[in-house]
Amino acid sequence: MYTGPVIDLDIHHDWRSPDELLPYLSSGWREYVTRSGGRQHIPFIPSEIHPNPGGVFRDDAFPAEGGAAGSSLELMREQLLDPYRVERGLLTYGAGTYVAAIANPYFAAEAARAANDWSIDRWLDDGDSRLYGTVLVANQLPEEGAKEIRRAGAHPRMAAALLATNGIGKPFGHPLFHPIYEAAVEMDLPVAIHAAGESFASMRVSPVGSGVPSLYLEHHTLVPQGVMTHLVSMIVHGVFERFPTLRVLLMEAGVAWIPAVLWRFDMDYRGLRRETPWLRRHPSEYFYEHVRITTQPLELAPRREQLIDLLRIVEADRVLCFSSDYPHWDTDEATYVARHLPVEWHAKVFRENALELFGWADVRPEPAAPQAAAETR
Amino acid sequence: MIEVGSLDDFPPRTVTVVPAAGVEVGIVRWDGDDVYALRNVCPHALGPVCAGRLGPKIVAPRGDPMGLDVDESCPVIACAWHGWEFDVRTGQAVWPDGRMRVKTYPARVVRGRVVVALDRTDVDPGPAVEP
Ligand code: FES
Repeated sequence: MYTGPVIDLDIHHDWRSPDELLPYLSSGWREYVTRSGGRQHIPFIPSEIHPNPGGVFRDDAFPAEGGAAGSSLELMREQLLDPYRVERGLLTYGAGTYVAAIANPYFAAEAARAANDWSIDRWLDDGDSRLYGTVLVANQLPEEGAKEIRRAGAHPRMAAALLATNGIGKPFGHPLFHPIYEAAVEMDLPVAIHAAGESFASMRVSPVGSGVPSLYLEHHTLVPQGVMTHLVSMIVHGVFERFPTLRVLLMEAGVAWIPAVLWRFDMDYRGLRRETPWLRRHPSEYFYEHVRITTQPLELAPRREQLIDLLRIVEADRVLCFSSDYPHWDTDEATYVARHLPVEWHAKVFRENALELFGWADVRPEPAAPQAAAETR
Repeated sequence: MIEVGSLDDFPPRTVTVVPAAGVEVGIVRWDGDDVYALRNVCPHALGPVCAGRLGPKIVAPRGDPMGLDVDESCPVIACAWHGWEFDVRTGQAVWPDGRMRVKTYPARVVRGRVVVALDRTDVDPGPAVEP
């Protein structure tokens, strides 16, 4: 049973409608969005290639008053923050997460800036003190993204820079992305890389290797592939040698793939070291030092012990950080995750690893609310 | 000590596999009189390590991908099978903290002849295992 405070590192907050962003756009871009598209506004985020037949949200997460799932703070409190004793929650946007899928790089930069201001206004300054923000980064123009990290990241409750979509068509280790890491390090913000960002019709890259899937099941099963690509790329290109204090959080990619990738990576490195002589350690060592990973969606093994055995191999108690992915259809609630992980990992996975990653040394344990529904066994 | 040939039989910066006391030994001649001897068995999967490529160790003096260099003092053999690299002077793996090693033998040039010190224990060292 885990009855302590929970830190949730992936909560998708959303606007009731994209119109909420209009006041945050510059006058020219507002005109562009509202008029130049004819009768309908230009959509902020392009549509996904693969429709989920059940929709991508929990059915009970839509506010009674209307609007998108994740757009009501009241409902978020009722369904997530209060019952699960969320001490701190990291906001990661709804469809906005994928701002780097916008084909127009200039509009993408403006949309990201507007979304960050909206997030600060509505959810941080006027929202709930438990909530922390991520700086949405339109990485099509990395220098602009870096500027935005320095600007919006200066807010005291902005806790990370969020990369979710490959807007350039090169994996995130490519030096083109270095300005983003430089800014994140300068602002002392971890870089959060969220999975599934390439599943948009506007993208020039396939969301998975070897071709674009046709069905949602096909796509979603393979979502971790994109995150693997970015992780391997960042290590190979020496991003962590260049930015030794950079911290990275991988989000929504699951966890069971980690041993397979790290084992192969270390093995191949022995035969290919001469291609990457700037690496001074085995690839897996960079992972353990610089990277943390969110739990959701925790893979469902045929037997609970099998997943635990696998996770022990990658020192899961020190690399995993809990995330719910509220309000999405594949959400993991804290109770469920607690049941599937060993009790001795709970304090670290639900709280301490996140405190360390974000440098939240100021947080002290709070007495757990005595709510039966909140008990995580 | 076993004599394996004249120094002139081994051109500079080459590796030559010779039979010696029942084992295959790779003779590496580096620069001048620098000669080294390694058992031709890779600790990874027992492949013919000395049938691989020899060269100076590639290094990144700036610690980043720009401006690669070589360390001329460090001859490296990349195994013929999977390319794992070993420092010819010590047999030690070249990757960071590599503890795996190829068996090496003392070798030197005596009056223009290359001699290698082998003994009975050298016959079957078996594969090394590195976790
Ligand atoms: S056998 Fe030598 S590298 Fe594999």
